Amino acid sequence: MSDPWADNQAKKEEIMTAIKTFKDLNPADLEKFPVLKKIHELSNEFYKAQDKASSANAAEGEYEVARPLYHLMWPT
Amino acid sequence: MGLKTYSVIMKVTNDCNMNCKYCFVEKSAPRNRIISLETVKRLFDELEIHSPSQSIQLIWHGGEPLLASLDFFQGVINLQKEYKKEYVNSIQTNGTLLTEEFARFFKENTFEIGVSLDGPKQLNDLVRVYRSGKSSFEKVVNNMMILKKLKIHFGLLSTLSKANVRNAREIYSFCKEYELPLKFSLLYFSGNARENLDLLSVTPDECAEFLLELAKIWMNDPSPIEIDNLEKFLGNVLVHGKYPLSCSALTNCHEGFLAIGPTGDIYPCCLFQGYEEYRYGNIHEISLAEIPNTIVWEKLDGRVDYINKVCSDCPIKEYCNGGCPFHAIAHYDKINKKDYFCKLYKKVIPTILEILMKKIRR
Repeated sequence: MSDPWADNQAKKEEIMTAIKTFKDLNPADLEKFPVLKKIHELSNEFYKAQDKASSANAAEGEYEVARPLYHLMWPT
Repeated sequence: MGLKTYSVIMKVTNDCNMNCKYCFVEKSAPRNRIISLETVKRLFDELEIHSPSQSIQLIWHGGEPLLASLDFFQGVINLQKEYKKEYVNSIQTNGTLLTEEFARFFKENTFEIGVSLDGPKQLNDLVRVYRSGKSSFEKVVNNMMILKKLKIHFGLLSTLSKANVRNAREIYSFCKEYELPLKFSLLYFSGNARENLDLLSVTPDECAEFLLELAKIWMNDPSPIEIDNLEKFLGNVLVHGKYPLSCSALTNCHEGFLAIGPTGDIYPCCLFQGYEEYRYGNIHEISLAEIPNTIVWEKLDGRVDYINKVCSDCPIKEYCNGGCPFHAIAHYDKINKKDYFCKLYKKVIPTILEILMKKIRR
């Protein structure tokens, strides 16, 4: 397979725009689709943990962010 | 930078009652050995002092981890109670040795369970067989029913190879029928897999086609199953790449992981077992505090510098971070290379986003 966007600046920008648009979707859009609903919940979990972490000390806070999600990381 | 371990892959043993054609465990990894409770205790002693995380996930893995007895796992749970750290246990099993007794124990001790199976019988049996060559499918499915009966949540881990890469629909239907969450592991070109490339070898392009077909089925399903890889691709974007949901997208294995083999050898990940040049040392001989000063740590940091340079203008760099270092080593014999599956990530992530955006705007 050839590199989908090697040396294609316009394509790269298009992808960056798509990513930004996706990130900026409002919850109502995300909830329209069953697959996104769960992902949205997952990201909310992340942000909640991040808020909690911001009030904790930096070293422990970093791990508190990871905590709700790390069980999802199966490495192999 | 210090140790950041919050997940340890516990290679209970490299022995297995099966002989899967893609097993990634290298022949040079220690055999005929089950990790001792003494070694586990030594690790816990070290984690208690040197891991900055209050919670630590242990992923019990193999070989086949259920070759260790129930007494062994009970011993582990008893040990964990002696420490201030909170341990969260997960286990990845081929499912053939799973008994009701094991299942009840795992439920009682809140183990998360992953069962390795590659979809329906005709696909699974091409690669996942007993040492005799016989099918293990019925046994695994029967044992999965024990988990179902006890209402234990578990998922399937399937490896994507040439044997199933054209069968996204069959695999999805199989998981739907049994109401199982699904995760794919990309083929590691090591161990047995290296000897069976004719049967197994897949290209990033083929894997991308598979995942995109699966994604289309998944996105059009009104009650979709959980597909770990796809959820993580999208989840990574939603959390702005700040905390990768997949280990291969961490900037560095040592940003969270550590692996220990049955003899106490410690590595950045279990995939490195048998690669002496990636062994940090042995838990009976070194302290975890010494790991950041090792050459292995330096090599992994060196790859981060390399990836930051060669992937600097890639729009999805923050979501894959150059991918898995082991895929680079297994394919190119060099750590300073991008993941062999780089083109897969480049194709799948933007395409899924594009499909979703079209649906949302419709």
